[in-house]
Amino acid sequence: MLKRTLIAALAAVTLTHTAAQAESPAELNDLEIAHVAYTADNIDIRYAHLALAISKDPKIHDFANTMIRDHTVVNELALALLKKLKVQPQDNFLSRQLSENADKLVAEMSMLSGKDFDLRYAENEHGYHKAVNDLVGKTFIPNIENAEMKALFQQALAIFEAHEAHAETMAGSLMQRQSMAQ
Amino acid sequence: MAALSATILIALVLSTFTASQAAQRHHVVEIQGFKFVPAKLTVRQGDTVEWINRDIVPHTVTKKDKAWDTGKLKKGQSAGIVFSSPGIESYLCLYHPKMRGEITVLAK
Repeated sequence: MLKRTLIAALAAVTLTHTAAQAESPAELNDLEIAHVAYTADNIDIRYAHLALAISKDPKIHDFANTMIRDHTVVNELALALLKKLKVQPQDNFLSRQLSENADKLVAEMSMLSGKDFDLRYAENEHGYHKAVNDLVGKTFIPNIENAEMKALFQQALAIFEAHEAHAETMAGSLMQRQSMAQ
Repeated sequence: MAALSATILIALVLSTFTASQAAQRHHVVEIQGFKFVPAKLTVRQGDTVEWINRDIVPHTVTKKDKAWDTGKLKKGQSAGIVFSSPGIESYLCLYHPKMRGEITVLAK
């Protein structure tokens, strides 16, 4: 009995250990993927609030408000689903990496103003969405095991692809304006 | 003769009534996957177009020159516009401006 209990305990530690040591996005489990998605959404909301505070461009404001609106909805649905499944998202190396990068970028963008800020924000939004969409489409969605979570991620991907396209247009327009002004 | 005239008159009134009723139709555009479906729609003067949001995020349906606007439509919400004048009405979602649609309004 004691031996069986010890083996079970070791197995649990091993599983936890393995999950905690995941070093590739492909190794993340559903709860870790949920955590990454929630973190990524909150990061974009953070960037949007920064844009609203610094930028004076109405188009940047419109975009930022859409980011806040849409990412908040996705997060609310994700949390509702986790509550329904009675599980908690799990922190992991990728969430931590995203957060660290975001801290650096916020510090960098906070030092900018005017057109410099607008362009940096727009370019980052395009690059950020492109990178996240790639990860979600090629790695997360194929690996998610829970059907409801997979369906939510598929809907979210469609939203974020629209954001990526919008950001690309916005960045292109800003670059054009900047080069015409020079 | 009088009966025949009365019959023709009733038939004329009925056909006029039916024609005017048929012109006031109700059309539906679904907002799905960040698209207006159908993106192009032809209607007649007096028709109503109703937009229903099937996406999980909110959208608007706003004429390009802002002459009309449904306001924010959350998932499951809908709004209708009656098109009283002939012409082409180009519209978009204010939140996601790459979402575009067009209503062609034909004269009665």
